[in-house]
Amino acid sequence: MKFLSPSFLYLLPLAIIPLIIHFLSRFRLKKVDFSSIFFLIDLKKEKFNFYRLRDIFLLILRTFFIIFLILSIGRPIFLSEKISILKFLPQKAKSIILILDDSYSMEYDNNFEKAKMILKTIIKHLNRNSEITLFLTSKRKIVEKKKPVDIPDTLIENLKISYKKAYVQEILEDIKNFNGEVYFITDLQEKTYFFLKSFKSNFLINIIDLGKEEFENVGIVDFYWLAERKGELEFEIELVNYTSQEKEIPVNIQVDDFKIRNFLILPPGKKKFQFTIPKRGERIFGKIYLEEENFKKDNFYYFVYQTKNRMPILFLYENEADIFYFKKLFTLIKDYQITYLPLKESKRISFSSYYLIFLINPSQIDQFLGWQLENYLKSGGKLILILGKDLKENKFQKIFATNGIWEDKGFVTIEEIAEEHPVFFGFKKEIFKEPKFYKIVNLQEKNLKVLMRFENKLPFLLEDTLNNLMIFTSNFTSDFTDMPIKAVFLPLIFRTVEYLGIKEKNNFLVGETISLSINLPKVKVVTPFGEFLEETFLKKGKRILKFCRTEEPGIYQIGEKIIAVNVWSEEGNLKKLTLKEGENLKIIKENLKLTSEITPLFIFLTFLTFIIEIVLLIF
Amino acid sequence: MRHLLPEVICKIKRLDLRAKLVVEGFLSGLHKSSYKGQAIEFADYRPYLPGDELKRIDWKIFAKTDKFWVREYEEETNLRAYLFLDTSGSMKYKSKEMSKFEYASFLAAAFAYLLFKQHDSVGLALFNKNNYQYLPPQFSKSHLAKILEIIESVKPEGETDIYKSLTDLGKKIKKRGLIIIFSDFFDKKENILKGLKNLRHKKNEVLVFHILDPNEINLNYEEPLTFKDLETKREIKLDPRSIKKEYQETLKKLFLYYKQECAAHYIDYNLIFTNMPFDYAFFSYLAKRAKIK
Repeated sequence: MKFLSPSFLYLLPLAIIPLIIHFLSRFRLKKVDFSSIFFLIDLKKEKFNFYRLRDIFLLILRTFFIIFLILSIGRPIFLSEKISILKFLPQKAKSIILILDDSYSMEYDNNFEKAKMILKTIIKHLNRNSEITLFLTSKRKIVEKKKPVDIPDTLIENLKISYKKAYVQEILEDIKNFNGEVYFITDLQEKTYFFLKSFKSNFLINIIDLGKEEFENVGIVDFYWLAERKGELEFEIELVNYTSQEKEIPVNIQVDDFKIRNFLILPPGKKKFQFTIPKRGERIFGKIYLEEENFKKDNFYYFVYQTKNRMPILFLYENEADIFYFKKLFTLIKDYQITYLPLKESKRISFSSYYLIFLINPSQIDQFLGWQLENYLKSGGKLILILGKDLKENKFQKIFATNGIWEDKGFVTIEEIAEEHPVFFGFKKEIFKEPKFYKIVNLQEKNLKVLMRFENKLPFLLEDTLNNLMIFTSNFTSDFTDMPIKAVFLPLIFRTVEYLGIKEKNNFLVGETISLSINLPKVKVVTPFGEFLEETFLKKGKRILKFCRTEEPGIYQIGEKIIAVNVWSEEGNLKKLTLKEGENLKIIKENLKLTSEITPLFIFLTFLTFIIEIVLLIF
Repeated sequence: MRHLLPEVICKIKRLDLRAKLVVEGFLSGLHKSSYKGQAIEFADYRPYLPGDELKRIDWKIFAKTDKFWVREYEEETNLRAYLFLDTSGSMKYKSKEMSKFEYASFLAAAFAYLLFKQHDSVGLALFNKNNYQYLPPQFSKSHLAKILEIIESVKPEGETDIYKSLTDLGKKIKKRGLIIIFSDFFDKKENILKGLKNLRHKKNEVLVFHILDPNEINLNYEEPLTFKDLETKREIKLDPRSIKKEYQETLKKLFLYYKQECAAHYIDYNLIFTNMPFDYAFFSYLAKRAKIK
């Protein structure tokens, strides 16, 4: 029998407490006067003392109660089979790199505990002059070039599951020049370790495979806000049933004191479900959780909702024709408060009252306009610049510069889009190929990120992430493009506005860095695992907080802001990768069974001893 | 009858008052009791015989019948009563307010008072293993006061040797009478019986009050304890719960043994617990007194 939390076994000496109390009380018996002990003496000699026996039995029960309790906390297990890796370990001293998969999928079937035991066994059986380096897949180096004796068991025992993604590919890249043996203890998930199929290296990597072909799990894959209406919020969750059978899963949604519980019929595979919750206040946050026992780590999803006010948007234009299609477009979308203003009148207004400015086809960005826009952007404003002219006078020369107009070679279409960018989520790539462009402002990219590019490699949409600036290199008029009459126009503009319009991202994954603009030198961060006082830093006149300790899922409060941090849902897919052994790859299947965890038995025994004691005391 | 309860009586400090209260309370509670009054009461007439005192002739009967009739009375001489009070250390035991000795001494005092009121002469004997104190029976108010004073002043201590004590005291008794013994009888049962038989052998009437504390038979203790013997000072560690049943059985057998053996020798045996009202003992006495008549 072994223990998953053996450190609790140090409490076992506490089991002698009842014994000590018993003996102390035996030696310090209360003294009473009695008229004559004549009969008592005789009877004591004759009588078999049931009560003494009962006391001894109670003493044994109490001792066992404490022992069982401590053993329960220690989580006892039976090892049903021997570890097969031992016969493959090198006899001679070698440099060894051990990689332990600490991703949360390892929680399934106690794989992480098995892995820790295997790890301990490997370290124990390696040549004592071997040099060991230990990595966790969450990209932590725990041990660097140490001898086996210098690695205490407790170091391994105290390792915990991480919610972060597995960075094995990166770790293997880092050690590509390593000359020794690598042991990777993992559940070998298909989605996470697909790259191993084409893995090539100079060293032998021994994969100690703990995963199982069959598994059962249901998890939350995704979450979307759908609509806000009449004091209600509608959202959609996407659930996945990894088993081959239909399941009925209770789903709980909790927002403050509001709770709902629904039973969902979930067929194998993914399915989306819509829910409506009451909207109480401008900002709400809560969680959804599935009542499913097989694998609980992916059963939670935390969410935050921030009500959007009608966003004030300013359109600055020189020519009325340039805003023709925008006017048509924004009559369809009621979520914004639109102001159209000729550029020449811009000097008399303050930009700061607008959340977003469209600067459409300016002939120049002179000193004053440049100063206005620069201040506006510094104070957090967002700008969409639509170019149609070769800007000779351009105050933003540092950011971008025009290089003439492309127009004399028929038309071009969009060829490349940065698919991973949030603006393009859900779009089919083909839809962007429909519009034709006859004239394009040839823009020098400089430090800008190109989000869309024409087939002639000229950029169409560019982003300056630092300044919240996006630039379209084509004016949306019929002499530039037919895009405004194509289906892609409305969603593209709408998405661009929404993308810039989102003040801050409020949904992160574990391991991601939360980056926020906060006008304070220090800010309190409340996380599910503690409170921290974090310092912000100045970057181009703005105070930025970068909080990278998103170690656990949950609701994080950063100053006044609420952020939801969730687990990487792919880890919930426990489907195994099938690998063939190659030149540099050896797969060692470990059928170690820790499944016979006998904690419930010990908990039962703890209660049983307690109940017997109560019964004995009553009778 | 409230004033016959031990918990009430023990609140009165003066023993004479206690005795008086107990006896008066008891007497007032009697209606048609077996108590017949003084020994000077008229009994019957019989014909005059030569040698009879002339003053005993009833002259009114002579005037009516012209015959000499002599009036006969109940025995005029008082009963001699001996109160034997055990003063050994074991009598100190108490589980509540009143110890066995306190109970026994109240009872003895009350009997002394009752006997005095009945014009009987009362003697007192206090005994334990090592010594005894004896006061021969007399009928006088000052004698009663002395008895009460002695009872009040004595403190229970020392061991018990009932056979020796009873034998020694028996020798002191010159004229036969009623011996009332108050003791817890914590001694060898054979010795106790032998002692009692000795007293009875001298044609004395013997009335035994075996006084015990209720806890001495109930043994109401709920944990292992060290028991200290009040007489020998010996100690024993044991769990009373383990022997309780057998202990009670042993005592019941003992009581039965005393009862049967005493009955066989015409000794009145009464088991009394310190939580019982005093009149229980008085009724036993009256029953005995009636037999003596």
